[in-house]
Amino acid sequence: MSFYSLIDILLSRTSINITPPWKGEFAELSNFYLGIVRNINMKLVANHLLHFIIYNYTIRGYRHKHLFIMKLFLALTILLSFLASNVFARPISYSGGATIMQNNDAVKNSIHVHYSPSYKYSVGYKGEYLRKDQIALNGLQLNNLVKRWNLPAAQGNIYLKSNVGNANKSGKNELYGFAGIAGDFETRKYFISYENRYYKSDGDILSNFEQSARIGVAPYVAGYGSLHTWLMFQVSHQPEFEGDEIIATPLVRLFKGAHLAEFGVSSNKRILFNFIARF
Amino acid sequence: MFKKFITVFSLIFLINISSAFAKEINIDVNGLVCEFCAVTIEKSFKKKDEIKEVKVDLDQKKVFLIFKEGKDLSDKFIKDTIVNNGYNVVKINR
Repeated sequence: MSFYSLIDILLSRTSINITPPWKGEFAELSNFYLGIVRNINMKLVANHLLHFIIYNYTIRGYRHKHLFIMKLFLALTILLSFLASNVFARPISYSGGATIMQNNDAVKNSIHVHYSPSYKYSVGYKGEYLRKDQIALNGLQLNNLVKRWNLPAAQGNIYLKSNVGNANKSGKNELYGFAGIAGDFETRKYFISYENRYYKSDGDILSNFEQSARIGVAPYVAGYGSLHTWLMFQVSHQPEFEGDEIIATPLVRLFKGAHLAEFGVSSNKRILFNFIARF
Repeated sequence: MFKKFITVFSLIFLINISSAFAKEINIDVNGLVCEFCAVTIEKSFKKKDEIKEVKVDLDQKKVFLIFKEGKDLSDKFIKDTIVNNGYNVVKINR
């Protein structure tokens, strides 16, 4: 059974009846694409969605009323899609919040821009570049908060992440998707997280499983509004990209308010730099 | 000169009186462990016209709401706002 067939079967068994919350031009366009989702196979849908994004966020974007956001999105995409991803910071913001996550690690560079209609899920664009194999991925991503534990002095979360889009290698394009689970548990002093992800394209560009974990400790407990500092240690295993080598990365996380930055150097001598801003 | 002094004194007195009537409540919240959690809650309450100021104390796990004069929010609204941001309300202290 091919990847497409699996998606097609899943879609045919899913009743999709969504009324877009927005009005006017965007409602018409989204209705058009939702109509395609209901009637046509997944590969065509993915291609249409990609064209929709490219068209609306580039050519038409300059004439759109949200001109600044469009320009910002486009500039970041062009600038940072050359760079990739290992998102440890939470993939969902507060209700109505938007987030930009830019990650550069031992094997990838990525940008993830998402919007959270509620604290339980977020939707957005994700672009990744896998440096060793020179694979560019552009996809739509959905992040779900499956479970949250709120304790008096701690919080734990489990997330599901899924993505579908276009994989490009040496001019060859394939539909790809990934699915993964992520979890974290933190107090104001200690942090631990784990994430895995399985990538698959409908051809031979992608088929790999990767996983990573982190532990962290805050050398001091900072108050609200102060600069927070964390010392962290990350291990990752990405066999399709780096052989069976386990990559270790000590890093420093700094955050204040709605901005977070991480700096580190991996055991394969690559610089880690991650940046997150929430709006 | 004396009239000016009386005017200034009266203004200061009135300002102090009005701030004295600003209502403040605090809420015990579970799950407040990070800066992002605090930012989330602060942004949600600051959107409300009734709110003069929001403070979050991560050490005490408390959210402090200071209302504009004569204004208030119901316990249900406060609880829903915090729960809808992904946190749990333990107690609203009025």
